[in-house]
Amino acid sequence: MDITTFGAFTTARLGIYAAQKALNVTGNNISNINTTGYTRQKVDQVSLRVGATNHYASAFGGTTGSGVLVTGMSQFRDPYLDIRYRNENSSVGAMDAKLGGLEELSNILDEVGKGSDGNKGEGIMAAQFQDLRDQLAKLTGDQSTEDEFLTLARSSADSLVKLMNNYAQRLGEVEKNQANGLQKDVSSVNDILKNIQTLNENIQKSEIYGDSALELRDQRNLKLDELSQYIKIDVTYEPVSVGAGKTVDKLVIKTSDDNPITLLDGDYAGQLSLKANDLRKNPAYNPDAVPADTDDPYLDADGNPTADANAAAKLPYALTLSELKNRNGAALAGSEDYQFSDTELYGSLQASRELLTETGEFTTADMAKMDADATTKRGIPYYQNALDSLARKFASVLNAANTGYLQDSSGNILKSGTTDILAKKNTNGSYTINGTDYATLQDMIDGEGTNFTNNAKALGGVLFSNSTNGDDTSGITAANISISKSWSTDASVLQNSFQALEGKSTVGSSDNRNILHILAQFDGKQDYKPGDMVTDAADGATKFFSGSFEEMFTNIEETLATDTKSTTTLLDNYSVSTTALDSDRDSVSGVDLNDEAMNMMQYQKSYSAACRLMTTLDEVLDKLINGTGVTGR
Amino acid sequence: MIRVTTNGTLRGYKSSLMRTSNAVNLARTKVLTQSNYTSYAEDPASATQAFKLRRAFSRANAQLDSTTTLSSKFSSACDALKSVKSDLADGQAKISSLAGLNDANASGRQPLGEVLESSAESIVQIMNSQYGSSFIFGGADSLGDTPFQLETAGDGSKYLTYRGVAVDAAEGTDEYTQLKAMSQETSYVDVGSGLTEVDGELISSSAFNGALSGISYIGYGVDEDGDPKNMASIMQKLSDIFGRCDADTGAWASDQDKEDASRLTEKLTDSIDEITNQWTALDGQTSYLTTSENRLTELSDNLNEQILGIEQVDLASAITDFSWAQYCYNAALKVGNSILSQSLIDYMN
Repeated sequence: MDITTFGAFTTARLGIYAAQKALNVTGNNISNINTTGYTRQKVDQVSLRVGATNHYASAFGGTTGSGVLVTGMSQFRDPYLDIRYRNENSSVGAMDAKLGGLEELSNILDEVGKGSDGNKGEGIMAAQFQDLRDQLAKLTGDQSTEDEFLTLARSSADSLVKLMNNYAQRLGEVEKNQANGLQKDVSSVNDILKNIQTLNENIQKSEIYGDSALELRDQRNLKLDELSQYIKIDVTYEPVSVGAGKTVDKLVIKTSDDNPITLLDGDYAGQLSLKANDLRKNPAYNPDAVPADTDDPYLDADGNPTADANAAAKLPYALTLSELKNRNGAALAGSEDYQFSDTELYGSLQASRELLTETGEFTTADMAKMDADATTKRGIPYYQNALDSLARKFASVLNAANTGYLQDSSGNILKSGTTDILAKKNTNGSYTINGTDYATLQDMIDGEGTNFTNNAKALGGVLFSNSTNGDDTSGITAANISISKSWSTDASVLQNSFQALEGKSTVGSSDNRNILHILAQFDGKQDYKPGDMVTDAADGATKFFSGSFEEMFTNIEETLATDTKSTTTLLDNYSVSTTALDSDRDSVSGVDLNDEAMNMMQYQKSYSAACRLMTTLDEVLDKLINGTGVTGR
Repeated sequence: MIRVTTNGTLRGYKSSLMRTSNAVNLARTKVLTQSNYTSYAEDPASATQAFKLRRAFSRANAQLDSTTTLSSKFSSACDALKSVKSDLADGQAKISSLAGLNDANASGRQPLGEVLESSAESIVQIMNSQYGSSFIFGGADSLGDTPFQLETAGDGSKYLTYRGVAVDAAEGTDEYTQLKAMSQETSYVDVGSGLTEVDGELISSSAFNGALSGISYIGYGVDEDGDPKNMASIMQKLSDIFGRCDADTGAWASDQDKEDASRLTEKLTDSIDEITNQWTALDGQTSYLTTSENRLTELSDNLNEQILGIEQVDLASAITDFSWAQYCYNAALKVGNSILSQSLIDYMN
């Protein structure tokens, strides 16, 4: 059927309406050119054709359409670009968080360009090690028992251990900052999930009423972009029937992993919680099951279920996702709490976790079972352990070098106050006392007890202890290493020699062989093993570094620097990719003034044309109505 | 790219401008700090190398300090031995003893004996010289009591002790064993010869022995004739013999005295030869220390040069880099002025 006589006015009206709507959209696009996250909109219109068949239809009459119909507004958006952008964004988030932590560590441990005069770059801790060595070297020049020089050496050692204390304390502060940061990030993720949940609700409502809620979608996309920095996510849209034959899209967010975990499902959203020291939970275990679940609640390091909390693997800074609930508090059927395993997440949350938990070579056997790469991941605890390792080795080597008994030139231990031999040193290094052989001096001390210790003359003593209040050398760390009480009250505890002068029961006042021995310890190579610090380390007996004290400190700096450098490079790469992808997204979704100007002109013309059509129709009908059948009038 | 949008262009420009600005900042920092790198992460390999060189530099300077101190001590020791040898032994004691032995006018023997005694005392004083607060010839106990002392025996005769042990002890006695040990005392110092320990024992060639034991220079013990080997003791003994001569005629108290005086004078000459040998050896050691000083100074300079080579920028290239970065930045700003170019809207009527 053709349109009716006045039907053509409707065509014109629809044309004006469509042009008007398109101009409105163009205006909206131009207005929102600077709105973050705004997606360019367009008018969806179709050509209207009314009633294809009816009983008035004429086989001979040509049929025309009835104008244009605006069916709605839509956005220019490429979902594939969103996926790629969010994937890259999670890498940016991860590297950014990691770099932030490493830079905080670098502020403490990177000594390049630092030094006493601020410019020379000899370092601080490095320079202090050298200063102590210099002071000790000065003692070898016939000054080994001079109080003023001994005091200088002690002061230098005191400065060194206080620097270690200071570095350890600052590392502790970095740890606290990172822990607070992670807690804030968790809160931010929870806020984002709640926001998206609310937006989902509103979008769904709007869709039911026929509004595509484009602006709300823009807000939601922004939140998804934001969320992707914290956690690597997969976003899907599933059509859901809302009755009356109508379907709306439901947004589902899952973690992007081999074992995807749903973070949000339409109106239902989970919330993350952080626990600094948690035990690894068995995902199969349901605490709310009735009757009680037969599964065990925990997993051990091998991933086997266990009911024994002591056997359960430890999971530091564990993230647990609550069951998914809607805003009324109703839980999604089948949803339950889920504790993420050590390596399940990716993004800034995981990067912050790793900064707080990874111990590199100091990884325990249990942790290594949960993450095969754990021994190559180094977070704050690694640097704390490495510094502790240095402090402990330094203290133990120097304490050992400065502890001994008066002996003669052949190494025989002398009876206190005499030149008589108490224990003979044999050529193979063993000792014989009262006919009993001992392989080492320590064996003899242990075996003979007071029989030895009361008769031999102990010289020197511990130089470093775990507090300034005593001489206890157990559990020395960078945080507690101190000048021992004995040394702090008597500078001459630094023993110049253990060898008595020939025919005397005293040590030569300028005999410096022990000072030289200590100096040799500074230059000698020490083996650093994870087992020195962590008793249940995976590779406890394998040395991870061999070198002098100063080289060990440089090694700590170098490890941090290399990690920082590679993270910076990765972050640069990911940032460039993200920026490129963002530009790609913008090339689809962004507003361009030239485009909109063209649209404006186009729609203005079509508006005018529709108006002209109306005028033409008016004139045509005027002729028909007023100018027809009036011949001769 | 399908479409270049207004905001896409702006974002690209902002990102590029930021990079250019960073490049200028980096180039400026290099010029201002004159450092090739300002953080370890910027160039870990160079930073590690620089810290390694700095450690070597610090070691070299410490070794240089030790060597300089030691060298001064050895020079003082050389001077002391020179005085003992030339001024006292050759110049006074030898002449006095020969004069006392051969001079026809023997009446001066007693005064000559006094000269010999005072020479012996002077030798003791010189051998007790201090360098700083330590006795140069104190061996491994140089911060202890005065090493050489002239003690008076019960019979009124004087005898010399070294750190409390009579230096004229006969072989086989405990005193002799002590003296022998003291003459071999060591006190090693790191002078840059590669200080090394094996199983906790110092490799003696890796350090320099800075202990100077006085008795190893002026002698100790007695010889097969029962005469002291110590130069001061010989002089003291000669002085005693001359002292016993007749004050007026100078006649020997006994034939034995005459014989002893003759023998002791020969032995004094021998001991002067011996101290000359020791002096030469000490001079050799002092020269070694001086050479070490020069070597360490050179090493220190070389290391410093290497450190600067790694750490410090080549200013010419840094300034060129900075100028180029600045030029690029200015160009980027210039482009920015027209980045918001006119659009079609500006041409619409």
